[in-house]
Amino acid sequence: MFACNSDMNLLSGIGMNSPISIKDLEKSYPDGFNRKRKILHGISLEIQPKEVFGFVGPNGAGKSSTINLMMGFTRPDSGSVRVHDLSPDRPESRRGIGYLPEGPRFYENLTAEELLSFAARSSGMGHAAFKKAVDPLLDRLSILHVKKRTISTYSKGMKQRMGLALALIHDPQTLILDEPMSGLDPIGRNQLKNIILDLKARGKTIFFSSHILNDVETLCDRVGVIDQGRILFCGRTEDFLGPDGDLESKFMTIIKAGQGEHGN
Amino acid sequence: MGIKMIGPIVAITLREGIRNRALQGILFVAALLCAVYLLIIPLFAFDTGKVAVDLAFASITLAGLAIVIFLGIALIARDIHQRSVCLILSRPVARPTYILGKFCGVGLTVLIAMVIIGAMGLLSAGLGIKFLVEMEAPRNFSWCVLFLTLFYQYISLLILMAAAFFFTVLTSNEYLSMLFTFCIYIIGNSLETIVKVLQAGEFFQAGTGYISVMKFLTWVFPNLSAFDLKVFLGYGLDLPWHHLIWTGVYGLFYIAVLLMLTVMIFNRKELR
Repeated sequence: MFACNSDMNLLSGIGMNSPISIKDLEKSYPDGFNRKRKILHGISLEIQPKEVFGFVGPNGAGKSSTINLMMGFTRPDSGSVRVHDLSPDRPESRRGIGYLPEGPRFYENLTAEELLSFAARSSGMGHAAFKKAVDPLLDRLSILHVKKRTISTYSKGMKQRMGLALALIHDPQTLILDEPMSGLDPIGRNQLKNIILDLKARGKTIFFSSHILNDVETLCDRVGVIDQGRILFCGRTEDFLGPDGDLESKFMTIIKAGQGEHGN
Repeated sequence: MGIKMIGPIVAITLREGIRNRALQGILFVAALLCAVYLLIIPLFAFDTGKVAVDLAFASITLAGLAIVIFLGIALIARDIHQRSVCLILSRPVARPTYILGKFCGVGLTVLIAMVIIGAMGLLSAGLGIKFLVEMEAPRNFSWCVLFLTLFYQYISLLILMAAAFFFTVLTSNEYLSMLFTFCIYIIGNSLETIVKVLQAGEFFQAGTGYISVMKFLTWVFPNLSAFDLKVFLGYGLDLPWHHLIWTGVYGLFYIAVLLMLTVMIFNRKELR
């Protein structure tokens, strides 16, 4: 079953085994005194186990707002979010989740090793397992040589890799990555693509948001397009690409059609 | 699960706090103050032991207040505004656990700073007694009273820190929180004296209604002056144990209430 546009109301029920299920989600943020601005307009998504789902849309479309709701950082006005069949209000829902925020912020006076140790301990990982996992992971992300340096000395790209290391250290079953390619140079992007493909091969579920369309083509099984808080397209990557395979023109067509439909 | 999660949060908060430049700067100033006392004390003709105690504790209080306001508030405010809190809350960690872990972490940072400043104060006093002819040890000096005075000073700083956490989460503004916390410090140290003056009626005749309002406020605001035991240490007086026990219970209760309110607000907070 495909996740779908709530306007089409195709979801007959939220699957019990879906790592992430969102149904009729609405969210507003305060906008000035006693006013609210609607950010999400009844979106529904269902992420299947072991799939790579690309959540694409222009800046301000509602990608990060959706992810914030999945992680329990914010709460919906209405509708439901389930992560591993649990409400994000419950901390246990994040037990098998690896999360990379957009532009991750750290405790700058800590070293990579200390931060990763915290991440591992707080995710229930034992000390021996952590010791075994940490160096190969940092090596793969090309930041092993700086693991004893404080984060304040890291470059932007190093911080992005560090954020990814924090998401991966406890070998989670599901990954939620918000703009994972942001801040990475071409080598870093290539490394990250390979890591995502490797995780996919190992049967991990990956939900990642991006506004870079090329990432979608190479990595994703399915794609969701969001603009102005509405899901405009949700389906297999091949369907998104279309026969001519021109991502950008297809994307623009979907966005323009959505804006026309909703009077913008 | 929740309680087990506090340990890692305390550990990273403590590390972050101890390596913070603000803390190092505050400790440096406190060390300077301890050295300066040795120059000030010879200016006093008598009761130099009491003067030494007052000056050393002034340094501890000042440093503690600076740590709570500039470090304690900054650590939690930046967490919320810069979203580094997501680093913790993206793990299976509940929000109350985060608040408690942060509080304990900053509390331990303040404790370590107090121990360092206390040791510097003692060193300074020891040098003074040895090399300054004018300086004498406080009357009936007791190590037990010294440690209790430090301990109660620490509890008062923890109350202030709990208030700082409350205001930071409530206002979402670092500077407002600093201002409110400083106001609480001033009010908490002076309200009891004001009520006593009003009740005595020696300088100002206040109506019973006004006095009742002021008495009510002493219940709302923390009575920080109750935790000040310097006078017992400086003059070598016997400690009123009954008063101490109730003051300790009051302090812990006040901290618990403030943390509960902080958790209630933080639970509802949207971390965008």
